[in-house]
Amino acid sequence: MTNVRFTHVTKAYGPLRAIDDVSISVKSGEFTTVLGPSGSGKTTMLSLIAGITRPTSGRIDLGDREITFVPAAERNIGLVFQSYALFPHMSIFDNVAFPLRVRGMGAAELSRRVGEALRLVRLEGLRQRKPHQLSGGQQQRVALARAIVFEPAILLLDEPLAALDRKLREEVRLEIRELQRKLGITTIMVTHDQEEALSLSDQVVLLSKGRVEQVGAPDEIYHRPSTRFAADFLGMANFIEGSYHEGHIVSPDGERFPCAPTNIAHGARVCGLLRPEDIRAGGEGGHLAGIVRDVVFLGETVRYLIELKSGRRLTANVAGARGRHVAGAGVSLSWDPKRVWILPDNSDRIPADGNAAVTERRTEKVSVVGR
Amino acid sequence: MTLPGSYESGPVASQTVAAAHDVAAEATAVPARRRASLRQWELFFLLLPMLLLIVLIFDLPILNAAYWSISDPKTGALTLGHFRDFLDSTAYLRIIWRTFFLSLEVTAATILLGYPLAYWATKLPPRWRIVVLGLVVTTFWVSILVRTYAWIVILGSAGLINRLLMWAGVVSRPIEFLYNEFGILVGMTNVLLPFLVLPLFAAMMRVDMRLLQVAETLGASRFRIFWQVFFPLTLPTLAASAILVFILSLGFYITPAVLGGGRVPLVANMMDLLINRFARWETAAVVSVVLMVVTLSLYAVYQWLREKNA
Repeated sequence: MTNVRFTHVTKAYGPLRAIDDVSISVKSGEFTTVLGPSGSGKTTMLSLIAGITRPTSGRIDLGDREITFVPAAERNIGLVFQSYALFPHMSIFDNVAFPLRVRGMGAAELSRRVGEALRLVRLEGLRQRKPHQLSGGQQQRVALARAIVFEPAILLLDEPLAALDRKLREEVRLEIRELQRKLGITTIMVTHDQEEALSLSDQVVLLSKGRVEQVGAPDEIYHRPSTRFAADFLGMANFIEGSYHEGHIVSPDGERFPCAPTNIAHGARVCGLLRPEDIRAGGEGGHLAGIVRDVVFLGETVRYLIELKSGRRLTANVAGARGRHVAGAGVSLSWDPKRVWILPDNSDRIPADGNAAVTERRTEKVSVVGR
Repeated sequence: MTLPGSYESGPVASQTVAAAHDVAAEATAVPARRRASLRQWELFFLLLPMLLLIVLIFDLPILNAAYWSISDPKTGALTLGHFRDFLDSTAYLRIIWRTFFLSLEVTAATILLGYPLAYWATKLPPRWRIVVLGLVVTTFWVSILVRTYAWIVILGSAGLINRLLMWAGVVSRPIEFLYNEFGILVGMTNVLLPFLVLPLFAAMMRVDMRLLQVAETLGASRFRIFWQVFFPLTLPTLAASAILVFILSLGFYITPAVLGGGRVPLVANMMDLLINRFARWETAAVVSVVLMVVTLSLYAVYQWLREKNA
C-alpha cells in the first residue's frame, strides 16, 4: 500500500514560504490533484515529493518509509514535466529504456517492457524516431511511458496538459485518466486549471499561498467549499452575505434568500454560496425579482447578469435557453434552497493576492464555463 | 587566411545569378517588381569594387600558388614533379606528420583543460562566471608575441617555475620546459583555449536543467547523468570547437618559432625556410596545397557539425 504523507512540511526560500506547514496524505491508487493559482507552491510540492528539493522542516513519507532526505534517484518516482524533458539525443526507444538501463535490466526483458509501455501510450511504431520528430502530444505520451515503464511507486505530473492546444488537451486528459485507472498507480498531478482538477481526480488538494485551503473529492470541494477562496477558485460563485433567519439569509438590504435550514444560531452573520447553474430564471413565481443586465451566449448555456432591486448582482447560467430573456427584461429568480451552501469559514481572506487577482480569475473562469 | 576569401565568394556568386534572373524578368515585371530588381543591380554595382578586391587580393594568389605546385617554373608546362619530389623526401612528410601530431596534442590539451573549465564556470554564481570568462577572454586581447615571450619568463631555465623547484630542492638542475615540443604545446594551448571554452560554455548553459533532474528521478547516478545526458548534449559543440582548434594549430608560426627555439620546425616554419632560405617556391606551393585541402576538408566537417547542432 503506497501512499504519500506530508507531516508539517515547510519549504522556505529566504523569508518566502513556498510551502507553509502542509500536512496531507494521498491514498494508494488514487488520482490526486494539487490545484492552486500560480505562486501557490504547487510545483514546490511536486519537487519535494520527487526529491528535487528538500524541505526546510517537516517529514515526507512514502508508504511506510520516510523519504524526507532520500535522494531523488532512490525514490522510485515517475515524473513528467510540463516541458516533457525528453532526452533530445536519444531515440524514443532509448528514452523509455533509460530508467530500465539505469537499473541494469537485461536486453530481452528491457525490450519487452519498453514495447509494452509504448503500446500503452499507442506509440509502438515510432520507437526509432528522435523526440524532435514527434508532435507535442506524442512527446507528452513518450514522457508518460518513460515515467511508468519502471513501475514507480507514484507518478507525478507537472501541468502535463498546459503546453498542448485545447483539443489535444482533452484527448490527452482522457488518456492519462484511462492509463492511471488501468495501472492503478498512485498519481499526483499539479495544475492551475480547475476544470482539469475536477474532471481527473479522486481527491483535490487546493493550495493558496503555500497553505492547504481544502482537501476533498471534486464534487465535495465544488459544492461544499470551506472558504471563499475555494468557492471562488473552483468555479463561478455568487456569494450571499447576511444574517441567518429561519431558512433564509437576509441581506442588509432586507432581501431574503431561501436556504436549507441549519442549526446555525439565528441572527448569525453568514456567507452563502449559490452556483450560477443552480439559479433558474423564469417569468414569475420565484424567490426574488430582478432585471437582466447582460446576456452572454456560451454555447451550452446562456449566462445572465441579473440585478436585484437592491442593486446586488447575481450571475445565472441557464442551460439551453437561447434568447429567452433579453437585456432589460424583468425575471423572477428561483433555486432549490438546498443548493445554497453556507461557508463554514466566513473569514474574508478570499484572495491570496488582492482583489484584482480575483476579478482576473473570474474572467478566466467565465471562458472555462463556456467550454 | 585562405578561408575568408573562398567563404565570401559563395553568397556573392549566387547573388550574381539572382541579379541575372532579375534582368530577364524585368521586361514583363510590374513597376514595383522592377524597382526591386533595380535595387538588386545597384547593390551588385556597389559591391563590385569589393568583389574585385577579394578576387585580386585573396583568390588569385591562392590560384597562382596552386598553379605553381603543378607547373614547371621555367617552361610553364604542367607537371606532377613537385608533388613527386615532395612525396619522395621523408623530411617534408616528417614535418607535416609532426605538425599534425602536435596539433592533435594541442587539441587534446585544450579539451582536457577547457571542458572542465567551461563546466566549472557554468556552476559558478553569475558574478563569478563573468570574472572567469573575462579571464579566459583577456588572453584574446594580449598580443600573441607578448604572451609567447611571457612563457619564457615562466618556463625558462631561469624562469619562475624552475627557480621555485630549485629553491624547494625538488630538482638540482633546471628542467628543460622550453625549446622542445612541450614548450610549443603549452604556448599553443594557451592561445587556443578560448576557442574551445567560450562555445562550450554557451552550449553547457543551453542544456535544459530539467533533463538532468528528470534523469535523476528516473534513478540515474550522477556519473550516468553526466556521461549519458549532459556530455552527449555538449558533444557536437565540443567536436566542432576541437576541429576549429586543430585547424588553427596547423598554421601556427610565431609560437613554435619562439618556444621551439628553431629546434622543432612545424609546417609554417618549414615554409618560411623553403621560401626565404632556399627560394623553393614550388615545394612551398605543394605544401600549401596539401595543407589547404586538409584544412578545407576539416572545415567542411566543422560546418556540418555546426549545422547539425543548430
